[in-house]
Amino acid sequence: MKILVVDDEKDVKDLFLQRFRKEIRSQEVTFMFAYSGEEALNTLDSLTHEAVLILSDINMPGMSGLELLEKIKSGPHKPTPTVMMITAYGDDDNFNTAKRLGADDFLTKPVDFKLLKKKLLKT
Amino acid sequence: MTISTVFYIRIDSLHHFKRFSLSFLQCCFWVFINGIATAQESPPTDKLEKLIPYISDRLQGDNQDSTELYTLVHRAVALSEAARDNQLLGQSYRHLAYWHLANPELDSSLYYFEKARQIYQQAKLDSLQAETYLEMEDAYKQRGYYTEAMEQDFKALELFEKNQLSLGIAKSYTRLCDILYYQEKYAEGAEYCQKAIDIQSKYNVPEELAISHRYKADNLLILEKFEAALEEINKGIAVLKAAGKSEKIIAPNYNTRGNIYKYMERFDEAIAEYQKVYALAKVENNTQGLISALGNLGHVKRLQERYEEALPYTLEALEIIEQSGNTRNLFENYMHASDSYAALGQFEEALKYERLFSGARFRNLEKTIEQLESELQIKYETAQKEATIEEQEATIDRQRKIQLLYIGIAVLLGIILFGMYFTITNIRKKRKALASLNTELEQKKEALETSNRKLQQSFDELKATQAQLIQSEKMASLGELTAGIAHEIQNPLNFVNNFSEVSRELITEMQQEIQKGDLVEITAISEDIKNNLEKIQHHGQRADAIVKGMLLHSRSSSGNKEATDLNKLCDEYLRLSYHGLRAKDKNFNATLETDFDPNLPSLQIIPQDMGRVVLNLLTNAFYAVRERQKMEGKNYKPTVIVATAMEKDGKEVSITIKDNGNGIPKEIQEKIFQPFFTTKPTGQGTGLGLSLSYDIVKAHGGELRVATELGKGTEFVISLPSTN
Repeated sequence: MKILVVDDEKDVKDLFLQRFRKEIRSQEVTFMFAYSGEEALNTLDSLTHEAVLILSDINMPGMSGLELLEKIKSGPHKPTPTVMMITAYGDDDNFNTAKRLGADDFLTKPVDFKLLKKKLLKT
Repeated sequence: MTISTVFYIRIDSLHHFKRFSLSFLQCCFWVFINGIATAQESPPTDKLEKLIPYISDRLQGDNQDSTELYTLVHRAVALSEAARDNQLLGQSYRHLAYWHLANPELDSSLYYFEKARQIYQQAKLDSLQAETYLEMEDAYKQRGYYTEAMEQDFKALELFEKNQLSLGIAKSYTRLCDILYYQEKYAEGAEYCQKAIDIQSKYNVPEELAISHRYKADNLLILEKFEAALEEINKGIAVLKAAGKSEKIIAPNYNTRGNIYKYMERFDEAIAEYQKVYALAKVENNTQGLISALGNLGHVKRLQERYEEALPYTLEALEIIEQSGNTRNLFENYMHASDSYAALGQFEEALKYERLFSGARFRNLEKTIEQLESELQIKYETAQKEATIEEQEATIDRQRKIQLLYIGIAVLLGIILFGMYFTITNIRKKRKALASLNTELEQKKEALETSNRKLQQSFDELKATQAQLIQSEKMASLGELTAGIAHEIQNPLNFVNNFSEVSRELITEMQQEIQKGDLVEITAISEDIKNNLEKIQHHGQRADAIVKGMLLHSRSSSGNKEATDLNKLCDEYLRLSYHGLRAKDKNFNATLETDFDPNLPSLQIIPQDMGRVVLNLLTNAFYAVRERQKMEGKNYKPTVIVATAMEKDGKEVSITIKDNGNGIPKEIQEKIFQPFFTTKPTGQGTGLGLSLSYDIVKAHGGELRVATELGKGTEFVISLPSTN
């Protein structure tokens, strides 16, 4: 399973790689990283006909996570990627907006990686 | 000066007294020697009217000087004063003068004449005054003071002319004629006599007319006009004879005619004249007449070289002279006698009379010298007096000057006092005015103080309000930041938590690998752990910086200047403001662009203050783009650019904050830096943001400029000096 993580915080990459080092080693998951919405869309374009799960932050300079969500869900990529949005704690407005825009699931900061693993394994 | 003057006056008085006493003694002595020749009648001492004519008669006589007569005259003076009869008083004084006249050494006669004259003058008895002048003239003439004598004549003449008294005028002329004779001005003298004759001829005044003729003859004789002189004297004699005057009165004229004949060398005729005079004098027992006649007879006989005939006349004359003590013609007769004896060959006698002549001549000369000496003394005294007078005048002059000086000083003092008075008055007025002014000023001052207090109160209130507002502005900006801060803190904390958790797991794994003995795996894991720990530290520091920044921002601006990296400051506040806004409005998103000059020097600024400025400008920029986004929707791409740059060859550093919002309308462009001006809805802005920003930039010696275009956006530029 290919997972694209979108976050403006570059340390997110290291964090995910370590958290999923066993799964990566066992090749259960493959991670890709993008540091802005625009970058994420470009990466997505290069992955034609590949199932991708996208994990995106909302608060990002430039294209926000919500914009990206909207573009992915309405975009040409097939199959339509599963998008999980990471929101701040208790941010109901963004939660509802993301849900309306077609977000498949939600994670709240700080990210609970055990919960994330469970969710990923389900899919 | 005053003392010496007084001293002098005393000496002078003493001197006068001495002179008077001496003269008086001489007078008494003279009287004693001569005895009282005239038989005494009992004087009429009671009646003034009788007393004065009695005195007049007595004074006409030969012996004028008697103490008894002197007492009588004084009595007449006293009586006249009592009777207040000026005419008689004047007469009495004149009598006193006559009494003294016999002694020409005395000034007394002149003194009493002057007294009489003054009385007449006061009583306006001009005729009598003029007569007195003529008497004074005689007194001066006797003393040889011809100039003074002449003055008296002219004074008399003036008075007579004033009253048109022709005879008086004529009399004055006669006197002038005589005086001119003594002054050796014979021709002029003759003229005056002729003028007198012209007047007197018209009146029946034979004696006076005869005198005028005689005097004229005397003058003509000296002028050697013998014929004219003879004619003149004959006229005189004729007048007197026609008037039936006695031979006694005519006698002086015979003497003159004799003199004329003598000079005409008609000696026999001369002798005839002198013998007539001798005969008359013999009858009258007139000593002077006898001396004169005998002397002249001797002289004529000698001129005729009849020495034997001449001698008896001369010797008789000398005898009478020696007996009488009247030495007037003494030495000339000695001379005649000596000459006659010598001619007769009687040299012994000649020598004797020569010696007598010499002696008499010597005595005469001595007398002259004495007179001259006394005259000199008088002149000396006069000079001294004049000197004294001059001195006194000088003193008086000095005193006057001193007086003038005193007066001047007094006047000056007066002026000064006056000035002082005025000045004082003025000062008082001014003081009063000043006092009222002061009062007014005091009132104004009080009013001013009151208004000042009110102003101060208002100002304090305003300051309090401002402080409150600033605080609320701070709080507002803090509120804007809070969301951003929360987000910003959330992220590092997230990393801290996750990396530490991962690291724990890695350590567990590493322990397992240690048991397995897989060194490669152990090395890899430990490397990961090391990296993680570094990340934990980094994000912990990041969170720490955010908290510190927040604390700095909320703290009041008492910060100090410190070297600050402007790029870092701008980046930090850009994030804070963006995330703050995003925290409020989840839908808002904007493109943030930064263009930081990597070579920017660190600046000495107060970071929290400058940070607030940047934050304010960014907040406004985001607000602007957000407003436009609300209007224009998705086609609009909100963009905020923050740039730093070196300007003016590194002298200035600029921070530019640019947005692509709606821009600021022209009408409010000028107001944006004014305090409390805001375009935001009520409650959203304090209106102090830009105003405070402006002040802060100014306080850093910089400038805050704005460039805006409607529909295109706004650009704020902070310019700061690179060295401060």
